[in-house]
Amino acid sequence: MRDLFSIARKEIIIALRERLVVSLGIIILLLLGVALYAGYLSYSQQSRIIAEKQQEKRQEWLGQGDKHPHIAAHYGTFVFKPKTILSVFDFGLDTYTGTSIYLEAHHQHEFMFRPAQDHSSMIRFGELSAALVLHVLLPLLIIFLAFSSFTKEKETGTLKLLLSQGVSYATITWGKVLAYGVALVVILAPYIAGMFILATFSVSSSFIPDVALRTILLVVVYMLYIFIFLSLAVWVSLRSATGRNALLTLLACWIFLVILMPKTVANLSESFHTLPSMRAFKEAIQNDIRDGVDGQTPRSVRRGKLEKEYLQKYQVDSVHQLPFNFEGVSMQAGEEYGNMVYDIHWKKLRDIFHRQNRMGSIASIFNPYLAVQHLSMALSATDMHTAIDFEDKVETYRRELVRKMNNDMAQNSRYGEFYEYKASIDLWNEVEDFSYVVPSAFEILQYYKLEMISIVGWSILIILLLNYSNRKSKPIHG
Amino acid sequence: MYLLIIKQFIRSKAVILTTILILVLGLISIFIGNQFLVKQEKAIAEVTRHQQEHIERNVSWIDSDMGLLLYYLRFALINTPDNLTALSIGQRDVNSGIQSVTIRTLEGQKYDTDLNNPTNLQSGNLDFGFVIIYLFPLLVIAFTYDLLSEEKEKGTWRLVAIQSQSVRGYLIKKLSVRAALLYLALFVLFAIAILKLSLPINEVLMAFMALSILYLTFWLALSFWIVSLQRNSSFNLLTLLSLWVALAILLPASVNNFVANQYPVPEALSTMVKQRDGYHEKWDMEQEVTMNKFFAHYPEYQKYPLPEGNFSWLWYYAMQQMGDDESRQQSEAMRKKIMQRERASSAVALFVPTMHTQLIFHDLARSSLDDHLKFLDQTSAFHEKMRLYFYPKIFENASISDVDWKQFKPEYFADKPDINWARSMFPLLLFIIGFALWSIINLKKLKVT
Amino acid sequence: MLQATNLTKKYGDFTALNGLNLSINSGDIFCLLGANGAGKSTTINLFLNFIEPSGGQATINSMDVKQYPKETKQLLSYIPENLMLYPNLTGLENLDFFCGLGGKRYSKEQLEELLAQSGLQPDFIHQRVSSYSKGMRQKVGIALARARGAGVLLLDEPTSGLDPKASNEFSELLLDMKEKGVATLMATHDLFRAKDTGTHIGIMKEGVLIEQFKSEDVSFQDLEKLYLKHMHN
Repeated sequence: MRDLFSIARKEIIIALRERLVVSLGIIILLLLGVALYAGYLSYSQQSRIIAEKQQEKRQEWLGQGDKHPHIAAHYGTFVFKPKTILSVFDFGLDTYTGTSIYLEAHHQHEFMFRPAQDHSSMIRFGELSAALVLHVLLPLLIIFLAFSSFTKEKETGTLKLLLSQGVSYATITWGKVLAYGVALVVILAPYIAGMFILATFSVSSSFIPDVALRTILLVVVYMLYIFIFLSLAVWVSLRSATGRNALLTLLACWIFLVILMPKTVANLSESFHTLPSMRAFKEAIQNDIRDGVDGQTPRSVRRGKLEKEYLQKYQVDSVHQLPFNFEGVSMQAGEEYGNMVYDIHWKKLRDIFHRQNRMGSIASIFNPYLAVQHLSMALSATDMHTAIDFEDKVETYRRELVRKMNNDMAQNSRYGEFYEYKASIDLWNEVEDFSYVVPSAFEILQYYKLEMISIVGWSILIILLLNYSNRKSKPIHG
Repeated sequence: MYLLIIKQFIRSKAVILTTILILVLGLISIFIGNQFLVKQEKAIAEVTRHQQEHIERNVSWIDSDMGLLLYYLRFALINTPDNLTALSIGQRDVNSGIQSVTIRTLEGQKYDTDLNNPTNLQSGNLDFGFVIIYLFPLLVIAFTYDLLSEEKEKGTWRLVAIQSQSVRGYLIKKLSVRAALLYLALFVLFAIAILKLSLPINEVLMAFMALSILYLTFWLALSFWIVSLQRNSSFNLLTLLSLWVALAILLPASVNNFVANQYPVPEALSTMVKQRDGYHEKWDMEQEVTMNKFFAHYPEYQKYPLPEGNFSWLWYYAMQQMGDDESRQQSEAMRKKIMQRERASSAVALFVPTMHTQLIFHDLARSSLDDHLKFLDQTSAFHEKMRLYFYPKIFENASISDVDWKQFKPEYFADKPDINWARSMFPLLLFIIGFALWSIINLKKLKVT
Repeated sequence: MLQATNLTKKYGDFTALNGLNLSINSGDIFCLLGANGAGKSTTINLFLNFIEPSGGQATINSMDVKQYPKETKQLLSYIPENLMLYPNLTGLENLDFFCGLGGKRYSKEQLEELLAQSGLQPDFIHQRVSSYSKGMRQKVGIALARARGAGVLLLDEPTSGLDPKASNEFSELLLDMKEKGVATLMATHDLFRAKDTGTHIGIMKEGVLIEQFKSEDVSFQDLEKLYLKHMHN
């Protein structure tokens, strides 16, 4: 143990005297600072706009004046996906999922205004976020830091001297891992602390109640990530004859894991599980609503059936004699039928999404970068599953809104009237304002079992590899 | 001499392996491009078939009410993908290349995107442009970083220094062998792409290829400059890789953030809101208010009297028109903001070869934001054309059977990219010449030990 | 102190060391002579447990180095042909670090004293090792051996490449260690140093120790003749 610490100490002193390593460390430190600052700027800008707009839309809804409920349902309202404070850290998919949804009768509008749409095509290079710095650049710093950890000792002969002092390979290896680990944690410490402070004292986190827990989990995930890359770098260095070989091997690994594999997996999943075009998707929904899901019960037939049902139930001869406006009932029935059809198709589409993402999850078993990328987005609440959860809750809200409008119309207007009936603010008030609460971290992590297995598995694997090589290595081959 | 240098170079297993790797990746990228084209063609075929069916069906159902018929009818405008788009897909996956619009308010329709898995959008496409911009430089680095240091570290450098008449010449020869292999790999991939994607051989393709070659040359010059500093292999490799990270990942990402924060686009939302209000408010207003505005816009329709009663199609379409008219200002402001973003990006890109090459690739392949904006403009013009064709028919409630519905096939939009050779090539050329000269000067002072 | 019993090392069909028997006592300096590849370094590496023997055993203080790697290493100090230290650390820091690994802590003054005793010029003690000559590095090595209080010194051609003055200084230091009762095993090509410094001399050829005698029993001329005779047939 004592030897472990003296080796760690020596490594740190030497690393601090390497100009390249120190300058890279500083660069990463600065980048992280800039990234977080930029993230915070856009967070505060966006969340201010969203808060304002959300309120503005609410006022508009309440203050829309007296009008027919169905027109109000068409007038609709907007809801916005709130920015979580953790998005400062990882923008995740927000750029690509869109930020607002228009709620209207009969229509399930998708997310609108994907910020990526308004960007020049350069957005595809990526955005500078703290996650980019930590996912992509930190491994690179680790490689630069540790590629020569053993090869240098081999090339200069100090390794033999070390071993002749009775120090074991295991001690040297773990001493080095410890040293670099400490150095990296020191570099990251201010930001981790900053994140905690920001997360705990943030007022606008009402819709993401478990920020502290998420932050802790994020820190754990990143620690494991650093550990995996660090140990991998030390291991490769232990196994390589020269620093050049170690560096080439590690860089090849980095390019493969961080640049090539994610893209290839995405493209492959796209070709294995092809999405329909938006038009084909909508057309299929329209067809099913028009002709019925079975293709046999068009709208008019369904309406006739409903009419008959109601006439029988109320023992009357014509819809005019019903004690409520049958048009409202019919509209609601139509709405519900539409919802049912929509759910069927939406589920199919979701299945394709899930199958595509499943490939990414499976790939993450072989690639800790992917695992950490997914987990980081999940914990920052900027991932796919949070987006889907948001969409679901919005759709539920929309249905509730439309249902209230249709019921009111059924209750308070007469059949055959056009738009003479007007509802008032009392009705608008019955529709509560939309408020969104992000699912808890544990609920979201359910979807990321493979990723969690991956990082834990890699950590164990790398420990086993190091221990194996520690036992097998000899300073002289033979 | 050359033969020996070539032999020495290609006998390395690593060289052969990496060359094969890039060829394979290039092939994959061409395959992915092809898939993109197939998908687009399928979508176009689908929309063509669908539009015909859709019009026929609606016409057969709604046989007397022109206004109601046009409420449903959709007409498609297609941004024809160039085959070259397959090489550099750019924003084509985010921005839909097919617009299918009714003659109602346009603003609510034209920003619809295609269905996409956001996870996949985030990781982006492995297209040929990516292979050229990201991966070829890595190959350049792998081939050249130890051009000189290897000889020093193996101890052959002293011999070379004594034996050859010009050490600089020797290094340049070594470099040219590596460059030749790289160009060869690039040409092989282009040849395959031309055959597989049936790219037309025209000026645009030539510009694309010329830019690729210049871009590779830029990296060769940069690497040679690092080599000319005569440091050890690890230093060269670390420095070159850091430069690659800065140029390919960091700078573009930072510029993105900067531009996005500098030019926020709140108009995106306000256009949508304004469009909705512009239309919806009119339900609660006197019909005359709407009609006055409408007739101010289109005086030629004043001759149509507003029918008595609660509802008429004239009033309805006038309200729809107001959605567009009253959100015009926001819409234009948004367009301006987006153009500003585009312009700011391309101005910065002049100094960052990776970004510059990427943007020009997208321009040439017609997958840029600029191209999409043109397509949106075209969509507006197309929409206006359809409106003006049908407005009188609706207001007169013309007979549906009198219209030749067969004529409404999807229309195509194809913008020809204008190639600005000077702007495209000049920045790269300057960098190349600069680094080459600097290297030559550095190599004047040779350090033998 | 140092004992090799029928020590053998084979690499496949090739025998690097064949049945070596050797015994070095406290206060002995045993010099191993022989051509490159004769098995000198193999012997030293076996004592260091850097490689494992194919047969026989190497012991230090009657402990098998294979069975007691940690314990035996506590007893020895090793200086390779080209002693490399951490170039980014000063001589003093290097010494401090390596001593610390053996569990020995010295004050700054004591370390300075040790380095000075080993002949390192005071100006260099606090300079980074990257500016050291080979001789200066060897002196740090000796200081390390002293600091560890090692009873056994394993030297692999320590004087090759040193200038005569440095080489001489090195010999002085060895003799000094010898007085303190250190057992030294030194592989070398330098016949003169072997005769001058060593108490015992062995000549190796193709993995076999073919001659072994006390250095005082032969003159330098005889040693040279004997050596050349063995090298030529």
